[in-house]
Amino acid sequence: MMREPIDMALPLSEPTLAEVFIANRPQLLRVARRIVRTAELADDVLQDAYLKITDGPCVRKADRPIGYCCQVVRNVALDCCRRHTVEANYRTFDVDVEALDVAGPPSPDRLMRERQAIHAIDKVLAALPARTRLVFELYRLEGLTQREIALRLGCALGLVNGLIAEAAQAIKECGRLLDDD
Amino acid sequence: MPHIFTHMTQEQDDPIWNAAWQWVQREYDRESFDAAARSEMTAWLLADPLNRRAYDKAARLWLLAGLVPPESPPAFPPASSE
Repeated sequence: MMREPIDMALPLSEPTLAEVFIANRPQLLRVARRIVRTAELADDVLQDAYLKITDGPCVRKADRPIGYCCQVVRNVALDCCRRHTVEANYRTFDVDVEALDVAGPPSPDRLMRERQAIHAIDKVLAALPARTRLVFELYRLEGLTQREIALRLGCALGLVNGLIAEAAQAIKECGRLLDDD
Repeated sequence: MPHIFTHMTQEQDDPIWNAAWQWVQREYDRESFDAAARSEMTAWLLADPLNRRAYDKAARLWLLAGLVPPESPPAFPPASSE
């Protein structure tokens, strides 16, 4: 559990992301708990987020380690909710959820593809104009709504919508890296 | 990395992938994704296993995009200084 995250060349004095994660576990658990329905799911989210941070597709050093840990927990929690909602909706259509193709534990190949994809995403984001990137970060990394971003930046909702679409279009091209073998 | 370039053109023209990506984007936009949109998406997912497969991939990609560390400074100037 205490393995060093990859691609992290930090001086000894600075805590690793994994250490920051563990030290702030109660706060991170609250972040998860605000999003998912049960304490059990929140535990699962934290476990998954921890693996993403230590084993996972970390690209480069985060400037604010605790902020980054919160970001990962929040987005893993949102993804967990999304999956549950999709499955709940299948049931309203009388579909047997058990019969669905559920993804198993990630294979080494899959982890490698995800690392390649996140590096590619980081690269396409770096190539975006600064304003586009900022709007994307507020939307995807900080979890603000489009309306909140428009208010915060004092610009039109249509502009925010267009900039997000631009960033999403760039990211979409990285999807080919996730193709199964 | 064998399939970085070979699939590029194919992907851009893949209507299922385009639709799946669009659905993941619409679903994430919580202000506008209502019950009608969700039930439309569920119907699309159920229409073809390939749709669901593409959707799962699009959702994974969108999750990965949420795991990139931010680059913009945390305290960006308020709107008034723009």
